[in-house]
Amino acid sequence: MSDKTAKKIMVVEDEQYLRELYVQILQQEGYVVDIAEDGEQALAKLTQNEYDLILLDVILPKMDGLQILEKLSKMGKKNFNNTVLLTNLGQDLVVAKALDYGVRGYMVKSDFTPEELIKEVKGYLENGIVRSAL
Amino acid sequence: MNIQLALLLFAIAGNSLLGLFTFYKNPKSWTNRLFSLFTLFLNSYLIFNHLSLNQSSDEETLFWIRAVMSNAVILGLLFYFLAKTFPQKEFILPRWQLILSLVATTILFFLTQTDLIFQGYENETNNPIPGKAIGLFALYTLIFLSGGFIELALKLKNSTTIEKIQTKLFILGTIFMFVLILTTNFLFVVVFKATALVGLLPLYTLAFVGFISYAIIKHRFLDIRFIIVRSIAYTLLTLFIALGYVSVLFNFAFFIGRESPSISTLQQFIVPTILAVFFAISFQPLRRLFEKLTDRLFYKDHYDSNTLLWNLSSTMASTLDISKLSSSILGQLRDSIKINYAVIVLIRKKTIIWVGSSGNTKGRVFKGKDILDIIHKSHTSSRKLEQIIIYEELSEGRTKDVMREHGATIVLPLIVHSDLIGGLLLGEKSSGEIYSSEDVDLLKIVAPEVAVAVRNAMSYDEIKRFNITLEQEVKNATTRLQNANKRLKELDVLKDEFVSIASHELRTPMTAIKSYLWMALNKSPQKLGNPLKKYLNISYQSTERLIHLVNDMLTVSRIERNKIEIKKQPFDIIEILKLIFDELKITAEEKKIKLLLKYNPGEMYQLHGDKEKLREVFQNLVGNSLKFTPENGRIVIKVKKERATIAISVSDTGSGIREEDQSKLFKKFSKIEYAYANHSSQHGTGLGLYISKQIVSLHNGDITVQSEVDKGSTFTVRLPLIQDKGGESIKHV
Repeated sequence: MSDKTAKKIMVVEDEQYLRELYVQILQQEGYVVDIAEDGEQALAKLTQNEYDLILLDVILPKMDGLQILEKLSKMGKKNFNNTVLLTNLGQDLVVAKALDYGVRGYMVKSDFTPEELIKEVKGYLENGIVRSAL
Repeated sequence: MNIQLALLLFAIAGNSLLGLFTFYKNPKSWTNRLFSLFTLFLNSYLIFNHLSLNQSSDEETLFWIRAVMSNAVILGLLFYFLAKTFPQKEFILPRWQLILSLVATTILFFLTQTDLIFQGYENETNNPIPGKAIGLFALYTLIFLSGGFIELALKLKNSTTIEKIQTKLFILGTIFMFVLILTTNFLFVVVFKATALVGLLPLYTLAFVGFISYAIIKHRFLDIRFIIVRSIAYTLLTLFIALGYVSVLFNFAFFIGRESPSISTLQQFIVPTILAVFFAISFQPLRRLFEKLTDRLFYKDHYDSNTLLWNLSSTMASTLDISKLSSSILGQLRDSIKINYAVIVLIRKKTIIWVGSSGNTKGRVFKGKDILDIIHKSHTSSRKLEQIIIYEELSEGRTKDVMREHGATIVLPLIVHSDLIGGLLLGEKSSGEIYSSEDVDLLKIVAPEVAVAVRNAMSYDEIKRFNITLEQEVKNATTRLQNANKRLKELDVLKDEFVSIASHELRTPMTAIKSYLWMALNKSPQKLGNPLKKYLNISYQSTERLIHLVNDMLTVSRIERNKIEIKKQPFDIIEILKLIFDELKITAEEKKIKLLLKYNPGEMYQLHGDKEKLREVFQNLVGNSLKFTPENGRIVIKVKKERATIAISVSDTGSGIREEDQSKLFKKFSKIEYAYANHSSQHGTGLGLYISKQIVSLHNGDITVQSEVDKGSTFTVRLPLIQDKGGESIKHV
């Protein structure tokens, strides 16, 4: 897959091993992968760049996933159609709040094998995610 | 003469009025009819009588005298009839009596017009000359009058309440009239030859008519009866005094003067007689007037005990507040009897629980053993019937000392139902006098009433205080509960957070382990050797189990917090059963187990439910069966309708569950022992069936189990079926 057509994916994950795993398997599939290790970094990159898909962890240092969504929303981002929550939290409330912002969906990390995760990502990308301008 | 005529006309008018009034009050009643007829003839009698006295010629006088006699005959008959009927509406008389009395009356009526009764009139003596049959007339009159009286007397004896009162009035009226007639028209005339009062006769008839008409119409005013009785008493008194006075005077003059008093001197007696009567009658009211005046002068402290009792009663009835009640009672006693102070001491068992006082107690304290003792002593005083201690009556001793010390003159026990509840202590009289017997009597009447009133007030007070305490207790308890509830809510939030964070913290490393094991197993550049691959597989599956456990625990936590969300939508249960069937078919084949899905393809099995949650339920049930069914076994998923429900059963040929274990199945962490023994590799989380049951319950369904050890188990889930309007289940067209 050439770089020009390659989809750009942002992985916001503070857990080093998981982040490395996601980067590895996504790159193997030919995606362009960008990473953020904490909330502030994520917010900075998300305001500067555009991504086809954002895999957003909720529990993050400095600023959590929901706060990122809130900030972006205040900055004028209206469409979170390219964002998928990636979490291991058991609080339905958090998910419900995120869904209120209009995020595309959520994945419980522990329920997916790497193969299944790729399958999910492909599913989200193929179902015509509009690259939203900030 | 003119006065006599005026009296006559007045009486006639009065009689007529009363007669007519009585008649119109109830024209259908024979009593009323007879009575008005009686008044009619009474009036004519009066008129004839008047005329007979004022004729110039003897013939005319005789004519009117005869008319009077005829009239008297009819009056006699009517009197008897009236007495017989009174006060009933019906005229009841035996036929023979009626005929006999009518015949006798008719005969006598005509006889009175002949010489046989009165043969002439003697001008000199002013008397008619009686005839040969005058005795017959007397007999007739006697029979009818006494007959009437006997009737009335019998009625008085046999009747009750109102009728008795009416009869009494009738008799009183009659006696009243006869006594007066007898006195003025007979006694005076015959004994004293005085005819001055003869002219009053019409008034007597008026009184008589008044009595009887009142008896017929308005007998319910009992006060009137009292007035009547009193007026009779006064009349008799007057007569008695007048007669006595006159006779004493007459005899005195006769014996002293030794000469027969002439009629003119007799007439002179009348003025002193009237004066004597006047003084006699005015004696009582005058005496009362002077008593009042002298009392006011000499008994300044005097009080009316009736008024005091009445006031005390109304006070006791008007308040339940012990302080107000006591000060009001004591104040009234003090003001009336004029005493220095009055104290109420209330006791319970051996202690004084309350003291209320009025007046100047000079700083004395009514507490302590001394007071308690004298109250007890008043209760058990030697004069048991009296139950009062009076200072002056005490012999020297402890009690007297205590009373002196406290300035108390009287101690009365307050007793309710023979329980001593306290005492009433009274100081000296302001005047320095001793208590009169009237005071003591009054206090003895008052004490029991005060006791009851005070006890009631105390009870009320206690209830009121108890209520306040209770209210405070409830308030405190509520506050404690509110705090506890608040704390619980806080804890609940903390628990939610903890469970969430804990699951997150657990799942994150497990995700890493699971993912990298998967990578090692599936994406390894080197080919894995047999033992290594096996070890990695076991590790991977164990991690999976751990993750399942955490997930199940999260679900249980949601269920128990009522935070599980059921998103209901209508769907066909076959839809999800097919998915599960397809998913688990491969596993079943690997284990050489025959998996079957049985349902009627022509039918729809529609229900309202959460597809995802119900899928978990059946996945769990079929998964369990797979775990516990040995090779070459058989698992059947069967769907059928049972009236308004769909029954989905999962039957296996597995190891079965002992009966005693079956009830434990749906509880948390309820894995049955044998499962470990026989299927150590088949570990579940122990939460699956519990979760399944909760989810089915949230769908208004139920889940049951039938099992036999070594033969197999059948789990059946029943869920409500969606029905069309006719109550029939929806079918494929």
